[in-house]
Amino acid sequence: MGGRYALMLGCLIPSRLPQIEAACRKVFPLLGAEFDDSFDFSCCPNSPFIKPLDKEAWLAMAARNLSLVEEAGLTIATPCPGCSNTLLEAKHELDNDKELRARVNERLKTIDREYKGKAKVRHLLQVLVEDLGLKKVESIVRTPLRLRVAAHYGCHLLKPSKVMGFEEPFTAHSLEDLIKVVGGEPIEYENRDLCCGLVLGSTHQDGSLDLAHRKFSSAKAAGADALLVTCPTCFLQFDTGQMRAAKKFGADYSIPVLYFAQLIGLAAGLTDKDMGLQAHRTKTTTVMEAQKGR
Amino acid sequence: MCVNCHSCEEACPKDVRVAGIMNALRNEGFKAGKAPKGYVGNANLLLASGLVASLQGVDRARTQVGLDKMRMPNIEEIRKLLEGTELKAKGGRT
Repeated sequence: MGGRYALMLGCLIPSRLPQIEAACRKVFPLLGAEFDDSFDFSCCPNSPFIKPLDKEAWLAMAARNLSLVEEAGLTIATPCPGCSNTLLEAKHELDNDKELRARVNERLKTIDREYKGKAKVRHLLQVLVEDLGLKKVESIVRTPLRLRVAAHYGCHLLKPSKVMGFEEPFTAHSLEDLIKVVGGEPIEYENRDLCCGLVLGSTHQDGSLDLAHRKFSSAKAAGADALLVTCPTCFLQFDTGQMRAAKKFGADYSIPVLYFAQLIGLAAGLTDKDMGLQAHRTKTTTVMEAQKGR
Repeated sequence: MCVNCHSCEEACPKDVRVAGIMNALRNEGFKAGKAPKGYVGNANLLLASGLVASLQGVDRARTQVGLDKMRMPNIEEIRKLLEGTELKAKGGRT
C-alpha cells in the first residue's frame, strides 16, 4: 500500500544533514510513497529547547503547523522524531483540553488560521512499517548488506508511548526487523535504549559525551559494523560527536552511522553517492565494502 | 541534567509526568531570565527565520547532494502569531 504524505522536514535535516533528505526523497518513492512539498511548515518547534522556554509559544507554532494540512486531509510525514513528537504531544494536549485549545485558537485567529484537530502525524519509520510494509522493502533489495548493525531508536520516536502510538519503547523491534530484511544481522547490545545525549551538550558537554561513549563502547563490544538511527539529532551526536568522544576517552570506535533510509537505499542498489555518504564525518568504508559484497 | 527522554515516565507505575514537571520549572526559569545561553540561541534562530537552523553554507551543501535551495517558512506570519508571548519578548533579536 502506498500513499501521498505532506512532507515536513524540520530544521536540522534540510540545513545540516541534507544527505538524509536526499536519501528519503530517493528511497520512499521506490516504496510507493509520494511526498507533497507544498506546505509552509516552520520549526515544529523542538521540545528540548523551545518548549522549555515558553510552552504557549511552542503550542501556538505546533498548532499552526498542524492546521496547514487539515484542509488537504493529508497525513504529515516527517523524517525527524523531534517533529513527530512535538506535533503529537501538542495535538494530544489540544485535543484533551478545551480551554487550552480555545486559547491557542484565539492566537491562531490573528493569522487567519484555526486548529480543528483533524491532522494525522507519522514519523517515516512508522509510515514504512505500518503503511508501506517491510515486504515492500524486501522486494526492492538488490544487494543484501551483510553487516552487523546496532539499532538505536532514540527517545522521541517512541516516547511517551501513550502519545506517540507506535511501538512499546523497551520492546521495539521495527529497526531490527528492517536490518534483517536488507540482509544484515541486528545485534543485541547493552544501552540500546539510552539517549544519544546531544541535548545535554549545550549545558553539560562532559555528560553529553559520556552518554555517547557508553553507546559507542557497548555497540563496539557487541561487534557492531554500523549504528542505525531514525533521528537527525542522534545522527549528529553519533557521526560528528564520535570524534569528540573518541578524543576525550582515548578510544577508537570507528562505527559508521546510517539513517534508516540510507540503509534501505544502499540495499536497493543506489550508490553511496546517492545516499550522501560522502557528507558523513565518520568513515563509512565498511558499509560501502559490504554493499560491494566484500 | 534532565534530557527530556521520557524514560522515567514510561517506567513510572503511578503515571507521574516528570518531563512535564521539568518543563514547567524551566518555563518559570525563562520567565525569571535564567535560561541557558544555548537555549536562548535556539529561540533567536527561530525568531529570525522560523527554523532553528543556521543557514550559512547550507545551499552549497544541499547542491552537493542534488537538492534544491532550502525553503524558508513565512516568518512574518510566525512573528505575528508569537506577538505577546514570553518567547518573543525575551527571545532576543527579531
